[in-house]
Amino acid sequence: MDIDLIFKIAGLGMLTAVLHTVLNKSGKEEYAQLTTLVGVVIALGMVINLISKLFDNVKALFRLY
Amino acid sequence: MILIKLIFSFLIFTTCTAIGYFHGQKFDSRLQSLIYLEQCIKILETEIIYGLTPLPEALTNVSLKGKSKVAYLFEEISKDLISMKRDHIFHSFQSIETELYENLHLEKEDVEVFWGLGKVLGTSDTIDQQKNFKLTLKQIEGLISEAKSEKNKNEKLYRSLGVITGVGIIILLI
Repeated sequence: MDIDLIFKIAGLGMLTAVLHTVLNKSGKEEYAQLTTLVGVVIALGMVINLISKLFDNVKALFRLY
Repeated sequence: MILIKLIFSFLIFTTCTAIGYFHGQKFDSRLQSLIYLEQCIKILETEIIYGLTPLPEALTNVSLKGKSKVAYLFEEISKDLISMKRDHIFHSFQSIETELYENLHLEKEDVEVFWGLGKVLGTSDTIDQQKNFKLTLKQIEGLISEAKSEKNKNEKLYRSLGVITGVGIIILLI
């Protein structure tokens, strides 16, 4: 199991939170919303492989193929 | 391998920070330019209304008395006016357009106000000129207050945005 990925996502989350606060404070709410969305998408892109692996494993375990 | 990674992440971080910093700096530069421009126009007003100095000479005097960040432009206008034998001083004002945008970081509306002064300069009697000076100074005052609020809003934002983007890219790449 790759533990680095967790730290990476944690870092990304912190950055997104800071970015959201900074943009929100300077009155650019729509950009703040957008950056949060982009952060979520990037984090999802990081874990999508693992999720697909998980579903494959579930399929293999219950012999659903 | 780790060393290369470290060096390049540092490089990315510095670049992003610098971009953010200089983008934020533009707002400060615009505000400063407008304030100095106002001072210079006030000096020019005094030269014309009370000193009754001829225009090229008055412009040169402004360039000597004003803050050098803006005042050198008046020297250039004066030089252009004499050397190119312009029939109207407005064409000399137009000749320094790129410098207004690039060195002083002015916006389009600031330049238009400045040019508005150029259009009427030296075309009528002192009373009318004084009215026009007053109008221009009033407009610049409004622009200064607008630039101030814009600076307060955006300068810090762009600076922190640069740093955060740099860190974000590094985290994504590592």
